[in-house]
Amino acid sequence: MKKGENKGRTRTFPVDPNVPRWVCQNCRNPLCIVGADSYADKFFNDPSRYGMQGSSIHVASSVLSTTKMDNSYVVLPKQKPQAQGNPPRPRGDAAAQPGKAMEESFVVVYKSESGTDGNAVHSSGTGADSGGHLPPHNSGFNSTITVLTRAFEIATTQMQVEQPSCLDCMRILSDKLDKEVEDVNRDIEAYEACLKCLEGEARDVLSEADFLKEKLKIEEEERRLEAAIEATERQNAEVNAELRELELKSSRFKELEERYWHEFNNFQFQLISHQEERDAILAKIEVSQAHLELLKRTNVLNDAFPISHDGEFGTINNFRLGRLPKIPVEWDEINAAWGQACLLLHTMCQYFRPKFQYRIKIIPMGSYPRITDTNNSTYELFGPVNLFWSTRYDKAMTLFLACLKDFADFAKSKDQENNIPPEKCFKLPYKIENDKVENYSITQSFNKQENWTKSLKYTLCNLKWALYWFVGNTNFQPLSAMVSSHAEVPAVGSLYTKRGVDAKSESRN
Amino acid sequence: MEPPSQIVSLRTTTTDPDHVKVIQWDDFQHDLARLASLSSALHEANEKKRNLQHKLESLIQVNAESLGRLNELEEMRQKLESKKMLMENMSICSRLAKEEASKQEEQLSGAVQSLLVSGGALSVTSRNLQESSRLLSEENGYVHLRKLQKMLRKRQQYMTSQISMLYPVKILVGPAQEQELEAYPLGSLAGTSAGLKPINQGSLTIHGLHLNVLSFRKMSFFTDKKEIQNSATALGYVAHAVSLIASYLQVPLRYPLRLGASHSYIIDNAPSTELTSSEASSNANINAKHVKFPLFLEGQDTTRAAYAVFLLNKDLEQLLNFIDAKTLGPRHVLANLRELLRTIQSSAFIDNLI
Repeated sequence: MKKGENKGRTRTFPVDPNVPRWVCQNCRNPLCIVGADSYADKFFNDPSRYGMQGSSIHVASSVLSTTKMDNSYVVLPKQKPQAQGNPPRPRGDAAAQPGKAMEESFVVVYKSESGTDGNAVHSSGTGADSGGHLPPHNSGFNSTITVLTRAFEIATTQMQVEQPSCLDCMRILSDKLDKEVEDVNRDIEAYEACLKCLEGEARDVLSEADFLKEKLKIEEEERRLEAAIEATERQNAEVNAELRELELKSSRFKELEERYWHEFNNFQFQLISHQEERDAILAKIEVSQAHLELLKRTNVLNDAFPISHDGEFGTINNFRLGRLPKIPVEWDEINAAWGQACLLLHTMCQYFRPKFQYRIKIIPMGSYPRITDTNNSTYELFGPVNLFWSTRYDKAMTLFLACLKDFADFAKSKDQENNIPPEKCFKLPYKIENDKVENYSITQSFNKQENWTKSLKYTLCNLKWALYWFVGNTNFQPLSAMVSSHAEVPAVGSLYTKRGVDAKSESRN
Repeated sequence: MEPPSQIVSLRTTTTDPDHVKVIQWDDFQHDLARLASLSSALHEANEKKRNLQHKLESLIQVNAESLGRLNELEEMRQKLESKKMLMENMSICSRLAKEEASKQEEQLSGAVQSLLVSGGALSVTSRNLQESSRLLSEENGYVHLRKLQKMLRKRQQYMTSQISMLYPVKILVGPAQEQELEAYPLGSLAGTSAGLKPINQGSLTIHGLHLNVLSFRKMSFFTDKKEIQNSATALGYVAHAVSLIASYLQVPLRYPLRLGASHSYIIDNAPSTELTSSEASSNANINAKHVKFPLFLEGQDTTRAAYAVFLLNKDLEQLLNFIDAKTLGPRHVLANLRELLRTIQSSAFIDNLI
């Protein structure tokens, strides 16, 4: 409020010419100080020495402070190089400002001191003298100037700031100083923290003696390690040598192994070749063996003239012999059958000539067989023939039966000659008597087809037995081989027994 | 007087009366006091800071020396540690190499053992193989096969001899015929006299029957029926004999035979196109797959019978080729059959084994 009022006064009211004017040493603005009159009057009017002594003491303390400040400024440049971290910055800032102030204030300070001393003595004398002579108003103005001047000098020397200064400048300056104080305090705190830390670490500081002791220990250990390393290297060399030796052995082994595999492959090839050859031979042997067995079981006459039956029909070489009302067999087939039967019977009879008295002769002519009787009359045993005119055909069939009976009788006599027991001598399974086979007439005239066919079937069965006897008792070899055939008769006899039994069982079944 | 006046003059210079600031003394004094106290505080703080700095510097120096020593020791320890590490690495490498050497040695030893065993086994097996090969070329193999084949051929020979007994193929030789053959060549007789024709046509018989193929081409009303029957029967006999021999030699005939005594047929399973078309035109009932030809005269047509005889001769040729014998020509049925029977019954049939 006061300051506001002061400003208001400054602007609105005209300045009293009697008040002394000053210039701010910083901003160079004119200024005047009011209100100091009372203090000046008190100062000069109060004769008590105590006051004077107080003022002197104040001045003395100011001087001392000035001296100390000078000392501190001298020391700062030395500290700068040693300073570390944060301290330099605020110090730098502070140094700059104080530097400027110092220069100006330093020059002024010396003059002020000497001036002040001189002035003090002189001014006091002058003041007294002039006070006595001048009017009261003039003496007050002078005292004010004197007091303010001295105050300014003291302030300047104490604070290194040129005085007088306006309030604004002094406040700015105060703020700066306040910040500097804060910075320095912060530095102090940091220094204290570091100091505490270092004092703590001081316990761990390694002495020279301990250092040397530790060093020796490490050197000793290093020597031991060197020795160990050397030993390890030696061992390593040995192992490497061993590995190289193994490599060499392995190489030689690989060569041997390769040779082995070559031989193995060669062997395998030979084995496969051998197996194929063996299999081929075994296959051929098997085929030949089977073929041989088959041929051994085969008899040419049995193979050429297989006699069997097909239902009611007797068959020879798959040709049916006979005819039924429901199955009219063609004449070609009947003729072929008779032809085969005649060829077979003729072959067997012819074989035993001249021993066998071949009185009723068969003339085989394929499908056109004929038979000649004892009177040299020839009858055709093939058709077609008329049922009402089959006398010659019937005669031929009857003659065939007679011939078959003659051969059977001859076979029986042959067995008797060979001393075969009577019960085992050859005997036809179906009795033949004139034109009947087991009471079935073989003629067609006045005969039913069923009976005729059955008669023919029995006839073929008899022929088959005769064939089996023939096969069992002869080798059916050409005349040149008859000698060997005779020599083998005993064996053939034994063979006959087996074949006879088989033939009978087959026939019955 | 001069200095004070100088000072006073400098400080009291007036510039502009309107801009003069008016300051109360009390305010001025207050700010001045604050400024003074701050200066004093700053001074004290700086003093304290300086003291701390001195102490700090000495401690820092001591610590620096200590740290220097510690660093030196640390360096030495690190060097020691690195050497220790190096030694450990070398030791590990050495141990691994030793293990590797042991492993390789063990593997090599095992492999050598295995190779020795394998080599020995291979040697034994090779010896066995050689022995087996020797046996194969001797008792167990070729010799056995040869014996077996000889037995087989003997059996075939025996059975063929029985067939020849059943259907003997002979040359008809008589005084009258012999004289006539000497007096007149066969060719000239064929054209001149019909009465001598049956006797002079062919000297070979099968089971006493002539085979007059020429009669098949010159069918006429004057041809003897009995002669036709004889030829048909002869062809039937030949067909039967061929069928039996083929089965015993295990030769599948190119032209199969369907036996019927004097009414036998020969089958062509793959007839030519011309024949098929001609046959189709003449006989609609014939199966297109195969054609059968009669080995006998049927009606007035003699072409089919002649072709049947030709095919029968082809079968004989096949059998002769099978036993490495030569055929005697396409028209000589009985001669080829006789050659077949003779060759099979000769000793060469057994000796000439492949």
